[in-house]
Amino acid sequence: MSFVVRIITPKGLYAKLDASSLTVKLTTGYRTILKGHMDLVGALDIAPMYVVIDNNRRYYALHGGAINVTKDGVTLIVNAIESKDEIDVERAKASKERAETRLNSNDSNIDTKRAIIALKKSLVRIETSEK
Amino acid sequence: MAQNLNKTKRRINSVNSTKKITKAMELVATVKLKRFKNIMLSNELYSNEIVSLINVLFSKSNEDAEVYLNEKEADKTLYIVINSNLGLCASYNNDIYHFVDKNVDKKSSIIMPIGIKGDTYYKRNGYVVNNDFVSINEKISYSDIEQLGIFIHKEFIDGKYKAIKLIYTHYVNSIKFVPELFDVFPIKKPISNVDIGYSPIFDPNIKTLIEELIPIYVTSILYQKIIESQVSEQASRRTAMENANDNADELINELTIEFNKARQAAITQEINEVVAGQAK
Repeated sequence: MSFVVRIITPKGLYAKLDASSLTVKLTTGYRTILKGHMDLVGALDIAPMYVVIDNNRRYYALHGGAINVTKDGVTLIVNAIESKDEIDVERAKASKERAETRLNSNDSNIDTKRAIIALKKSLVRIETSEK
Repeated sequence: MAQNLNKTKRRINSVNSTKKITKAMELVATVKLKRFKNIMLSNELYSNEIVSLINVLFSKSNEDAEVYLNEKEADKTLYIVINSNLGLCASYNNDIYHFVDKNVDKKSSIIMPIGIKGDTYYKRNGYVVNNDFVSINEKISYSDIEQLGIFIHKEFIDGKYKAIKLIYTHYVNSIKFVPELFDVFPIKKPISNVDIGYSPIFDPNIKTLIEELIPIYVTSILYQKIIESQVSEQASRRTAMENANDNADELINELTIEFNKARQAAITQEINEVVAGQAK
């Protein structure tokens, strides 16, 4: 029993998948969606997500956005998304270190919120690549 | 006479080399136009989805959305105005300047220009300018525009501005583009206030969702309009360069005729002199 998952980014349609289940992290926690799920609108957290296609899990690093579940399928509206293969681990590690040094320094000019988001994104990338 | 000939020849050469530049600029603008048009078209799906999601939220919520639907009690309005960074597209920038001069009240507004050309113009003409995000359209990156989206969202919620408006250039087709005003805040409630037919689960609740999704919505709007303005800018530049090319061709034709006339006149005169000399 599968349903359609559309992933939309500002650059257009990223992927259209025929999935049997989808697990995403909303701001309230992880939620798995199966076929026939009730209509749902939710906000997505920065976290890894996975889709099950033919009993295989496909992992993605998700960088926030919104989810809209309707009877026609699931639409993920995201700012950015990377599949496991697309992630540049070295770059993610470098950006993690950069964010950490920024957060550890006592410079008052630093945009803490931005640094936290950068750190979160790089951690998600690293986590997804290790799945 | 020979001096005159040389002068015309020099002018033809100079017009030719200018034409080479305008031709190159036209090609660059054409390529960029195509690129931005593709970006604009592929972004359409995303912005439509966001808008329809916001519509669902707004049609289901009552007082939670109020903060976004009414003007604040402040006396200033913030205008975000999109201009270009580079020249050679004067008609594009001028249209925006006229539109701003006509629609923006200097005393009760603050202008936030995007694009260096606008920054210079509004400062010189006595507007109050905040140029923190002036170079955001130099290399358009979604995360930069996100910063602007988060910033204006915060400014509006904190009640610093009565309203936040965006002036951009709407792209009609490759020769027609018009400046337009878009109300970012307060958000216009969707006209269709009818029940959308189903009531989805809101996770966790409508209020939090609206708070989470409005910055995403604003960023999407800004990105869409900045891209659309870029398309208009490139189209305007291409038209300007095309006209310059045509003018150069015309000028070269005229000058060549002039040159040939002068050359022929010189020859005729020499023949006349020789013939006259023989007759003596």
